[in-house]
Amino acid sequence: MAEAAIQAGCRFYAGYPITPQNEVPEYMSRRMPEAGGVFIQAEAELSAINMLFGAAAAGARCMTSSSSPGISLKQEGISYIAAAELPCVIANVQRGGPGLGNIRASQADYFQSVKGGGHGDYRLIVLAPSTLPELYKLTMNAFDYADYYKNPVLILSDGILGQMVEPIEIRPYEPILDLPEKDYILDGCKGREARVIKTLFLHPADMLMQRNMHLVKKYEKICTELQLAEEYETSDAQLVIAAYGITARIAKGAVGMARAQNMKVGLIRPITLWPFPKQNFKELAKRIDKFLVVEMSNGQFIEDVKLAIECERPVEFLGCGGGWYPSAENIFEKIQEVIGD
Amino acid sequence: MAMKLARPETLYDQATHYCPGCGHGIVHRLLGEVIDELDIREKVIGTAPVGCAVLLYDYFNCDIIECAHGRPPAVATGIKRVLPDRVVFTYQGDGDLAAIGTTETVHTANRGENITTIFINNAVYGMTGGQMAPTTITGQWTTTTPAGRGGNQEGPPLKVCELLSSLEGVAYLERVAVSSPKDVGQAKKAIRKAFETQIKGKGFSLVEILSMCPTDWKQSPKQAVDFVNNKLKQVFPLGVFRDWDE
Amino acid sequence: MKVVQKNVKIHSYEVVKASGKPSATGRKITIKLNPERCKGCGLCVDVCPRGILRLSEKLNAKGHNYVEIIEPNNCTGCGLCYQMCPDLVIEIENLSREKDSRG
Repeated sequence: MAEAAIQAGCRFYAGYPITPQNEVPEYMSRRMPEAGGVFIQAEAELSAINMLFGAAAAGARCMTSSSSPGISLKQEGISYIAAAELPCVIANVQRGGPGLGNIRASQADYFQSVKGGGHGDYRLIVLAPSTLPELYKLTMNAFDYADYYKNPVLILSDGILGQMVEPIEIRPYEPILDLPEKDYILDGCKGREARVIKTLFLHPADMLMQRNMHLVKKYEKICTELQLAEEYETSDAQLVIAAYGITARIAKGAVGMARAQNMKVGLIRPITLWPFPKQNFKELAKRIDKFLVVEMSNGQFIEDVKLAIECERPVEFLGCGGGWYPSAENIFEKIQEVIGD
Repeated sequence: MAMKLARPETLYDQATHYCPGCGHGIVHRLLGEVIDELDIREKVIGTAPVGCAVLLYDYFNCDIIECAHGRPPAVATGIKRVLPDRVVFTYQGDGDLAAIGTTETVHTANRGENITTIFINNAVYGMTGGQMAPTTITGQWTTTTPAGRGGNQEGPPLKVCELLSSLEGVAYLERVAVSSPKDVGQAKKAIRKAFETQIKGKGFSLVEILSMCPTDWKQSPKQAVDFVNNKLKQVFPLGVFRDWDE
Repeated sequence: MKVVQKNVKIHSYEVVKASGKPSATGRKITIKLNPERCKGCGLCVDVCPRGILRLSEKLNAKGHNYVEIIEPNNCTGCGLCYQMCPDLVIEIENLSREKDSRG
């Protein structure tokens, strides 16, 4: 993830140690200066996100990473960056919670990520890789999405992805979007009017409303343009598993087991959690019997699944927070239990 | 040869929202004068705090970013590291710098970030209506210390210059006031020295400025000036605490 | 938010020595006061070494008693009022004198 960022032109990283993502700041501390960029081990996650606020305002591609409790600390800064419409990339390598929790993987920061852990009506683009090659690719894409939409992008990873090892191909960076010029950066007002980056709008009284409406329009645009999902064996499926991230990868194994026994099971794997790939879900809901949501939490992602299909079909649940992992066998057992009817 | 005392170019021709007799207006002018004299307006990027000075971008004709409460030093770090040849300053009140932002202040100073901090110390939280600040002095009444500071385990006032003077990363540290023309003159010198410290790449500079807040001290402007001269200066002695030049 | 002031009446004073002749150093002092910007804080009044400033009985548009010069010809152009004013109400031009090296 760190290398992908550097390949994509990220030249400012500020972070703080927290398990299970310490490899990121450690790698960055060596690699970023090599690439001619800035690495800062900040005094806290809160300071790190505010350093990003400054670096983004100054025009740099910038990134921070942390894990669940540290992401909680960043929420204020994230709200400000989203309100100021600045680009940055934030990586959350999720661990068990709430509170100090443990250092096993989890997916319990779903609400925090897509419903907005910070205050106010803002949205983050949330990307959920399920393999390391995909993590690499999505990290590079994240910088493009951030610059293009002038919005923070969150990469929602987890402790398993964070600690596993698998081969990937180090591909060079290629922008996937036509990026606009950064005409908002603060670099000294030589040759132009002074610029102000602010998020306080007191006058006139409806100014903040206008700003909010502007953000709403932007978010609608992102929803139209950026819903990404992968469907696996869904064309004739009766039961479709809905899962994301590492859980989806495990679920694929369960789908294989089910298909081996002629059960018509498929998988839908959202890649963008926001914007939620509602289109895919709506289409599936027209023809399948039921969904089975598998997530490493007490039930967060499942709510968006139900919303997306407007409760048209039954949605079963397999999941638990606090560092529980499903195995492919666990999921297959659950498939057998719920598919019958 | 002429002496002309007038609005600095760096300041817009704009009435301010500050109260009558507030120190912010004086410091804004000094900052504008220094930026003019050093001819750095087009290279300057400033941060606005949360506090009465949140609107300073309405008064300064240069690039400004409005920060979350206490975070200007971190934001300034981000900007200066990305654009090291620009001049980056933070402008903060006592709550911003010494309460919620203490972590950012101490570590930015300790890292020796090459930025300049203008610290307005008026011993009270102005914008929110006069609550206790870290620098409220013992015995001082505020809306959250009705028995006077010290009556409810608030601890003594926090002395920022003294605290930061223990850090090796700090290049220039001076406490001044704006409660008399002589003090104003010294304050301007300090602000100029601080910016020169940054321009010469010497490290972190901070000027603490004892300032008047008549409204929240429940005093007239003249009484507020006396309060700075007779009370605040006793608790927060003026002087240079660190100087790379010595 | 920028408030643009229109039709502002600036009070302008030329300092003339009592004898009607220019001073020995050929000094010419022009003082401008912008009463609409004055908030009546009185800091300038207190620091004027000649005591030639006062707050008017009249109010400006914002409701403040604005500063007036009682005896302009006693002004030495020292600039202490300018130093203390938080609102740039006072402008002083002091010809034939070097710009203050404090500045």
